[in-house]
Amino acid sequence: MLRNAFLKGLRDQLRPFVIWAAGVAFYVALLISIYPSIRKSAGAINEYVKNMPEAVRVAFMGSSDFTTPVGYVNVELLSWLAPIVLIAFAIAVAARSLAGEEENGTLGLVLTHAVGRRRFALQKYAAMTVVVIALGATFWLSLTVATAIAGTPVGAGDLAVAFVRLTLLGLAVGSVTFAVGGATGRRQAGIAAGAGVGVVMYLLNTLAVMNETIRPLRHVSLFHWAGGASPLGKPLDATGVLVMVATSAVLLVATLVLFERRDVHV
Amino acid sequence: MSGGTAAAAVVTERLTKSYGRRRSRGVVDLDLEVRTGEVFGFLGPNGAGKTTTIRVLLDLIRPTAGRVLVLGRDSRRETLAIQARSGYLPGELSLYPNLTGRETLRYLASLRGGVDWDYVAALTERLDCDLERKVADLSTGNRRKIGLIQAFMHRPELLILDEPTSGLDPLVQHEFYHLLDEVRDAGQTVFLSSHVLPEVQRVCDRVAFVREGRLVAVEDVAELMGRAVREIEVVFAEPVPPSSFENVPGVTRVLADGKDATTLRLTVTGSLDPAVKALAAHPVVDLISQLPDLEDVFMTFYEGGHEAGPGPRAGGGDDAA
Repeated sequence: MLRNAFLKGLRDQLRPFVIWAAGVAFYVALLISIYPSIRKSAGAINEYVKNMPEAVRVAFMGSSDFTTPVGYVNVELLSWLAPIVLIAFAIAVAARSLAGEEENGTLGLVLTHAVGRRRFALQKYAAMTVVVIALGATFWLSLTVATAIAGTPVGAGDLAVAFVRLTLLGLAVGSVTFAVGGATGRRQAGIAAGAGVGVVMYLLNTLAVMNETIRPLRHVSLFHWAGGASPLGKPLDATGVLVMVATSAVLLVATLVLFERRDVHV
Repeated sequence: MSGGTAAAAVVTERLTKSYGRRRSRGVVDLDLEVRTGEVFGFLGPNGAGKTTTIRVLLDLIRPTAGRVLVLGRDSRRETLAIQARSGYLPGELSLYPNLTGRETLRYLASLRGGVDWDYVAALTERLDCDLERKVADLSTGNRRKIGLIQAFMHRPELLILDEPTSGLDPLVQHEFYHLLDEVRDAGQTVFLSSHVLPEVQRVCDRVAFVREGRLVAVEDVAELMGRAVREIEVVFAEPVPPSSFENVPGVTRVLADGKDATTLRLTVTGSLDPAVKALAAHPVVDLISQLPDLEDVFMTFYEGGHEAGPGPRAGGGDDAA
């Protein structure tokens, strides 16, 4: 695992990944195990939801029906928690990648061993991509297994589509942190940028759904491209995938240019 | 391969590095030439620009102006070729705390595309380094040893060592000096920064002295020590008049110490021999010679307005700002 910066990156992220993955699996198991009792009181819940302020309902429920397994998973997990977890994980990994090594002081040593800054940054980015995809896969696997055991399957294929979207969303926002961290050498700056972009895009998408005048602005939000409030059940659209992949790619290129160009801090 | 001397391992041409918006100066118009095969000392007080210069050589930071050639190659455009043939020990060494020494070396060696592990084993044994423990559990000295091994492990043509012996115990320091001798005999070039005079005396062929980002002088070490200024304190068995040493060659000042005039302080420049022989004419009870401070050596010489020979613009243009 020490043959190059990519494998070293994976090795560094292994422990955080295991912790996050365990948390994801545990939460998913819990969520699905209480579903049968939720469904029993579905009538009351639907009534309650109907009386919620429209803003809240749209933000958290989308158009989903709480009483079906698909609606339940959308509302309880895919509309907010899963993207937030994937984004937070991607941000944490990205912050450790370049800026983290720089703040620890190891970057200045490693970069004198004839690796080349661009190659180093690319390998770190590749490692980030792999672990974020792995966490998305953990989500998918946990849900598929848990719903199968609970006898409330929601369709492994549909789930896979949803998590492809959400993982791409996490990677795109993680790329913001990667780029800002790589360009400034400061972990906090990268985290702030990634978190800020994530929050703004989430709010933008949510408000755009409710407000006619700013509705066109939802196209700016990656949450929109990732499926909005109900990612499960929508087919994978090429445009959405392309937007998210292109965003990551542009940010990666920007990182390579900016990281190559500047002074490495002590 | 244009510019510079073919035989030069490092050439800086009017190298200037300013930091930040306030353009605070790291180094200013630095002209240096390190010859291939020599051990070159780079000296100066903290903040003089030593580390800045070293980091420019390795392309960790970029010059504001000027040009740097390392092993005949441009530091900006041929960075990887330079790094492949150089080894570097940072002044402030940071390693991965969760890796062992061996894992650290394995990673760094892999980035280079492999090293001769027999040589690594030999270095490890000579420096008495424990590679099996995690870096987090090692003392500063033991971490520095890992730093030294990773700098030497690929037998680089050029070694760039920032304060190499700081934190090393005397035995290991001694072994390190031997290692430097071997490296020099093998034709490798060493560029090291230091502020320890005995070290410079012991290992360097030439030294450059920098202060406030500017080059003060480049000197041959043997020549330099020949004109070092030493303070000698002598205690005689009986009072001796200070005037008896005033005309001894090399003695620039004599002070009587205490009321009974049995103790004298002499300031001697260059060779001690005439002074010692003159002292021996009287019954000597005690004699203390202080090690000359290298900065003093430079400063007394250059600020005193002596002719510096080939030394570049020194003395007169001193800006204390």
